[in-house]
Amino acid sequence: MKDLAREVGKYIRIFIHYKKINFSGRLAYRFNFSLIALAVIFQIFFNLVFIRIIFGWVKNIQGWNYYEVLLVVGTVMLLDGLMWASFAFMSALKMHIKQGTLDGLIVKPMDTQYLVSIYRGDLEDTARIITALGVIIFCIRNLSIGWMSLSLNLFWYVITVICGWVIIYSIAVILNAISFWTIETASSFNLADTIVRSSQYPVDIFGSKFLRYSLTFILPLGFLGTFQAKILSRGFNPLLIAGSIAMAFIFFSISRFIWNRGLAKYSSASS
Amino acid sequence: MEVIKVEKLNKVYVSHKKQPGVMAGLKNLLHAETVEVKAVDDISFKIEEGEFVGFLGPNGAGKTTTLKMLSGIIKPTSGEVSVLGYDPWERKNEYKRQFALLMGQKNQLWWDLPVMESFLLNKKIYDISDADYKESLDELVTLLDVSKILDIQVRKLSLGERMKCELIASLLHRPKVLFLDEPTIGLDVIAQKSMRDFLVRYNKEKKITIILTSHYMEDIERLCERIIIINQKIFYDGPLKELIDKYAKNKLLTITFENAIERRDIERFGEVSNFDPIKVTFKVPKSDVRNVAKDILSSDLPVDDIMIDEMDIENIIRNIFKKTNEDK
Repeated sequence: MKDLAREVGKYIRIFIHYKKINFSGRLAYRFNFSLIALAVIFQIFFNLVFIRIIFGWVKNIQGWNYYEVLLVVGTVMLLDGLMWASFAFMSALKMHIKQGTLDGLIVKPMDTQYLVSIYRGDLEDTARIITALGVIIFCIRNLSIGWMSLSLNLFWYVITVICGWVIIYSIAVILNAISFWTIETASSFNLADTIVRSSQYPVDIFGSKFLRYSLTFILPLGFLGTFQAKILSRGFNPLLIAGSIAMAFIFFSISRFIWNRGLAKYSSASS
Repeated sequence: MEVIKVEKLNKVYVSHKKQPGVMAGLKNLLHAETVEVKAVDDISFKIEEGEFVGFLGPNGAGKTTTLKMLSGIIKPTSGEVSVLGYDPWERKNEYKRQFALLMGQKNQLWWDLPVMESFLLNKKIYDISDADYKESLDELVTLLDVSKILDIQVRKLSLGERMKCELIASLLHRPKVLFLDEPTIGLDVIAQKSMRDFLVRYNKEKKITIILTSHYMEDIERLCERIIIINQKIFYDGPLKELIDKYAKNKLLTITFENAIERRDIERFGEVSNFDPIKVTFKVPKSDVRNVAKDILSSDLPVDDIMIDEMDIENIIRNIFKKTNEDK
């Protein structure tokens, strides 16, 4: 048990170290960072204003009032921010395969999937996380939830947000693991490749950020955020909670399986 | 103590035939033609602790593939590999902690950050204690003379400085085995010498087992007592000196003259490999070189200086490669 605890501690410490490297690397290019952070804030602002305007006309949508809907938006924002800040949609994998630097990670005495996952993290998405938290707190204050049920709901909210984080991570792994097979065959008609590539490089900030954001709606992020928000505002829902946890396990197992297959393919094909 | 054991190792790559053009690409999607490439063909060798072995071979000979199989990056098609008692393909962490792989053309250091940052990350990943880390770092930094550049971003370093730092990064965890894939490629003469001096010393002091692949003859000559010539198969495995004796049947005899002489004056002595009015080089079979030298010296030619040299090793190796290609 002590060994396990030490290993977990090590993995967490390495995660923090990598994020420090990612973030300080990002800050090194100050102009670039400011521009991107500005774009993120603008995007968030635009979305919030949009919701406000809609709710200027209607009192509720399908039984959801303004604050409940806003909570969904905030949760989606939170998950989006967590995803990009912690593992940047696993975009590091394609880069490593192309540059041949994946080998350097395979020989390290730590899980390769982990090392590739945490390799990149976008600092500007912490702005997204902070704003999301602000929005969520704002909504909580304006929804009439009693203190007792609030703390309970928050607990389950956190659990289901973590499940959502795991599910998005797993989807990212699955989509990116396609690179293990497609780089070899190198056909030009590769849709997943294009999707992942366009969400990879925030150099053209405006273009790809919007694409990134719309991507998160194509993927089940939309309804992932909904589950969590519902639990927070409407209370304990065993079906949703069990469902989230089950989904997280299933998605993670599938992604791990596909990753291992992909890595095996890489290990017999690359030269 | 035997550290590396390779027995009847094979690696066959199956790749898809790719033709240019959109139509061919479409056809490829539906029905891909495969092509089998034998990268490594039935090779076997054993390496003892502390040996410094050079892998020599033309491009595409399977040197990098072999190193990758020894590192557990690539799975062999058949055969046995054992390093420090481990099967590299099992990718056990205990094995990974004991070896290092340095590929000359691939960077592991973080481009935008100071060198120290990358070192510290390795320290964490390899679980190196503070004391061990400090000791290794100080020693390596002193030996390679890089103390002044540790706080500089990697992208601002010269190639030579960068390679030295890559080397340090791979040795911080004190591996018992080191795989070097063309580490001196692209380096200038001074940097190459610097790296070679370091490797010789490090190998002797730490008894670390090293395999080095290189195109540069000077690397091989200076560093490796034993060389393995590989071109899918192993064509030679033994001391460099024996290789020269076996394959280099000629020596080079260079005569420097006091006055300019004509080509026809010296042609009768032997095969001229390089002619200059005051300096002529002959290619002479080893057995004859003494006689030819005697003949020239006892003739009435204005000899100023005489030098007998080994055949250029570069040429020897090139001839061996040619021969191995023909033998395949």
